[in-house]
Amino acid sequence: MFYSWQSLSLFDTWHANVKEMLGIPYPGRNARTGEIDEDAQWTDAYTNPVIVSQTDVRAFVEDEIAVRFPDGLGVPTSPPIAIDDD
Amino acid sequence: MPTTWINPFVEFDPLDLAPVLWLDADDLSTITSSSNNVSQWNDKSGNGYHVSQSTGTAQPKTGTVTRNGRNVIDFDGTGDYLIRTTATGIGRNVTGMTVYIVAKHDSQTDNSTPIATSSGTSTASNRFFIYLSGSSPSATMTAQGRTLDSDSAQATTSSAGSFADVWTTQVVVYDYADTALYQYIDGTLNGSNTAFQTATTSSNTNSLRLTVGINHALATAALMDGQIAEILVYHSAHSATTRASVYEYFKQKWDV
Repeated sequence: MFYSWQSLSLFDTWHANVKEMLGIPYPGRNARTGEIDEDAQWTDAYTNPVIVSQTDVRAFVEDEIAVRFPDGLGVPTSPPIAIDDD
Repeated sequence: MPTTWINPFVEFDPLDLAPVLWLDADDLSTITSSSNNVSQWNDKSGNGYHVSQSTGTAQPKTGTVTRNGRNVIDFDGTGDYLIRTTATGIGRNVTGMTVYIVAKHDSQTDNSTPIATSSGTSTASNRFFIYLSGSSPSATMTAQGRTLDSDSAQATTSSAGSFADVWTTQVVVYDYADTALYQYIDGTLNGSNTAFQTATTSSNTNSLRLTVGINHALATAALMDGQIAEILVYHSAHSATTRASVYEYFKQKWDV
C-alpha cells in the first residue's frame, strides 16, 4: 500500500529508521537479488518516494514494514498518478 | 480451640491490582452497539479510557462470536478498529507496565495490532504497541516500547509459530527500572530484551492516542482480523506470582 508523508524530510526520517532497524543496505550484497556480491555498490533507497507536492510525498510500503515500523509512518493513500511524457 | 480454615480459592478480581486500563468484552454493559456494531467499548478501570468508533463501516462486532460461552469483540481485518484520541495516563511516570491480551487472530496470513498507544510527545511515536506479523506457521508476535519519549523504540519478538485461529494469552512486561522487556505467550517466556531503554521511570507525559485493533499510525496494514476478549494494562512490572493469578483468572473465564 502507498503512504503519504507531509514532507520529504518526514519520509526520510521514517525511511532512515527502517533501514537502520533492518540493517540495510547490506554491504557487499546485491540489493536487487540479495546475493553476496563484493563488488556491489551502496544503494541509497529501500523504497523510492514520489513527490506529488511539497506536502504530499508518497511511497509504497509493504504491509509487514508498515506493521513493524509505524513510528513516523505516513498516512495510507492511493498510488501517485503516473504522467506520461509524450 | 476452633480451627480456622483459609479458603485457598480466593477469586482474582482485576481491580485488586488497580489496572490503568481494563477492556472486558464479556461485560456487555461496557459495550455500546447498534445492530451488533460497536461504537464504544468502555474502560472498566475507573479511568474512563474508553475507545470508540463513529464510522459505521469501521465498527467491530459484538454479539456475533463467543469464547467459552462469553462475548468477544470481532474485528474484520478490513477496516474495524477502536480509538481514543484524547490523552490518557497510560505509561506515564511509572517504573514498569504489564499488558495482558486475550485474543485470537483469524487469518493464516496476518499483520495486526491488538493495542497501541503513542508517546507523550508525538502520535507518530509509540509508547508501546504489540503486534502480530508475518504468515503462519512463521508469524511472530512482537512488543515494542520506549521508556522516555526521547528514546528509540526497543522491541522483542517471539519465535516463529502458528498463531492463526488459536486463542492465546499474550503478556508483555515493560520493566523500565531494570531496562528489561519480556513477552510471554500462554505463560511461557517467548522473547526478551534486557537492554531496554535506560533505568528510570517513564516520561511524565500523557500518552496521546490509544488504539485497539490497529497501530497508532492507523496503518491499514495493521488492522486486526480476529477477536479480542480482554485487555488489562497495569502500571507495574508483574512478577511470576502475580501473572499466575491473572492466568488463572483468564483460564477460568476464557478457557485459555
